[in-house]
Amino acid sequence: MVVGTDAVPLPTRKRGVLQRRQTVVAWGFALPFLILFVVFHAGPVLASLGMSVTDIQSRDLRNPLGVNFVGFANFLAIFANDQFRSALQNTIVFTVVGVPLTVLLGLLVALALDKGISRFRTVFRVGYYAPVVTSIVAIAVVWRFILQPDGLLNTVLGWAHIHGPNWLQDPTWALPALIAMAVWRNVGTLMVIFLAGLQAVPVDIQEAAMVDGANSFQRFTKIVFPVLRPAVLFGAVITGIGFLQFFEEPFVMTQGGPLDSTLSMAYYTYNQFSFGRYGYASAASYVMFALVVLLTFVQFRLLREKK
Amino acid sequence: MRRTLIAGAIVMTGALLLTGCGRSSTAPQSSSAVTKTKVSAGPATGDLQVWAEGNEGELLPKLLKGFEQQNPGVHVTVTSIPWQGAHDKLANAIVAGQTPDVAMVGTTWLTEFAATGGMSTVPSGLVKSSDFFPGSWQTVMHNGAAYGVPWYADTRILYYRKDLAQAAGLAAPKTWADLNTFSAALQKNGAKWGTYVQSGGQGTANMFLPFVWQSGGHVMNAARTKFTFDTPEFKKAVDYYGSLFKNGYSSSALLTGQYQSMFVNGSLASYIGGPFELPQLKALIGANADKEIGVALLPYSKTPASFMGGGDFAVFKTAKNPDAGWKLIRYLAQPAVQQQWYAISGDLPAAPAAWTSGTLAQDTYLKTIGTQLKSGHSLPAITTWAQIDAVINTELEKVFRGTETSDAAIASIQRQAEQIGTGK
Repeated sequence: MVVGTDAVPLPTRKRGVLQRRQTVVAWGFALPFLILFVVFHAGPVLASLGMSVTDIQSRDLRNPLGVNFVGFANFLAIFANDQFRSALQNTIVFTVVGVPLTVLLGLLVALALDKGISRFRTVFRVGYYAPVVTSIVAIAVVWRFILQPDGLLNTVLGWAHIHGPNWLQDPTWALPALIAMAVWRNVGTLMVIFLAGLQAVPVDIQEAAMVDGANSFQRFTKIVFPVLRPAVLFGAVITGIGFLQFFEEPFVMTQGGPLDSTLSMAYYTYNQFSFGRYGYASAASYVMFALVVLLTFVQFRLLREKK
Repeated sequence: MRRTLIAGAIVMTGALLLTGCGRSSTAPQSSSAVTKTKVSAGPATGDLQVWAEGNEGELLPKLLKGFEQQNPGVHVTVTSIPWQGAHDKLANAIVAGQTPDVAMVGTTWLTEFAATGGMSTVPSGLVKSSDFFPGSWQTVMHNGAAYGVPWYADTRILYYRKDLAQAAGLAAPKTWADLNTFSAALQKNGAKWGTYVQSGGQGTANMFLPFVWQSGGHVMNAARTKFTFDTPEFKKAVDYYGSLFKNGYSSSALLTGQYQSMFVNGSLASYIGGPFELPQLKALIGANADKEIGVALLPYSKTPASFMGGGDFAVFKTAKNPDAGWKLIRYLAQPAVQQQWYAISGDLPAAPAAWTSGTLAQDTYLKTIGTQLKSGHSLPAITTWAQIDAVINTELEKVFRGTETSDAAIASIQRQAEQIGTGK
């Protein structure tokens, strides 16, 4: 193998040949990855972009090029569709309520585990992280028991003489119930990220601030949070992306009902794919993609390092 | 700048490429282009690959022993595929051209597969359409040609608590009015709900459509070119179905996963269910099952009607051994074999002749189910039905939960269905 730099300077022509050879070798090494990337990542992404401007359906699969180009008709149809608009609204409510709630709770739990709780710390860490690694199917079974009309939640509410609704069957309460479930499921991930972030907070500066008479709130806003900012940004971005693609919870708990009150954009798109409307469904996926980009951009704006 | 140029170029080439293609004006599989083949005389020979779903796939080899004895030269391999994902597996197999010779196809899928051009038409003279329940035969028809042969049938019937009805001095409800009387009386006697129908979500349309047929209506015209949701019969069905919730006869909250145990403990006096639930109910109730479980035809207003589903058998275009495949299908359609299959699997024969002797003709429950099958209607065999089904589910839920009037919902169903179309 020819490897890089020789101490003796080579004539220009020879150097050119060597460089070209190096380039070929480098591409050779990169090729396995590139082939996989093009075939299994870039290919489908471009194919679905192409599909989104055609009227392709399941019956066209034997002859995928024999379809009509329809321009932006799919996108116009999507935004004209009432069901999609309510799915969009549900997804936005879910994300706007769910993400800050998850970040806040994750931060509180991380702070409590970092400072407040010294005994059984591992037990709590495992406890909060367990929902993240538990199968959604198992979670659904447990949460159905909690949320059913005579379930755990309504029993507890009954002690306070509150008559709880039939959570999953009530068009007003089904989405909040799923938000609670999703927040509970995702707090663990952020807790771990924030706990790691908290290790980077310099203890000596905090002690110095304490000596200067800063109270714990001031220490948090002036010292801890600025150090944590990148971790919070990261947490907000990945939770935001996850929440915009909200699918599993309604899929296993409500099938999008009642009255489409828990139908999300991803679920809507999934349904369109299962109807065989590949062009329309691809367009819906790109709408969702655009929203993810937009949300991430906003989050970067809000949480970037202040100069 | 350079990057934007490249991206622009890619998009432009893509667009040009796409406009270059385009749908050809003639459908590749119009019925006139179908060539009628005939199966050869003599026994089936050669290798035969068969796919069948779920329980049917597991049990099918037992049934095929007889076929292999009659046709010593044939070697049948049955592959069982789970119901979950079976639709996609078959659809992908058709696209890839990697199909078996024969497959069991859910009755609601066959038209879709036929529309892709992946299925063969039934050879002339193989079977007679009159050998099957009319509702079953409807499921194999696409553009005027048969693309498969019915195998087993499924329907919906009314389960009611015979003992509780007797205590109230009532017989099984026969008409819609009877169902109201029945529900009111049994609720007065302590049942929480008189009956149960679904107020929304997946499966609502399937539970609701029999009410349309029972009031003499149809959701499409006979030629299956137009939707007829905006008819008085359809409205009558929506209003009656909705009145079951308004009058408090049926829970408007879904009882998914609970209604069977509620039926067993007597808090639910009747419900619309499938024949496959009978063994489950018998097992749940135990010794008194025959006294407590009653099976009745679905109550109706104008004509008796129920839903018809089940499984068909079909041969693929890319089959390597279509001749033996059709011979197998012909064997499976024989009444004696259909009875044998009932004994093995509990699946209900799609051939009425199989119901004229043996257990199927003697058991009281089965006699009722067999009668109901005669008035079974299949869902419209159009490729866009899944989409229209979802529209009906959504719009009817609005009516049954009181957020929309039946007139507005019906107009909306009609409008959306017309927009979706019949998929030609």
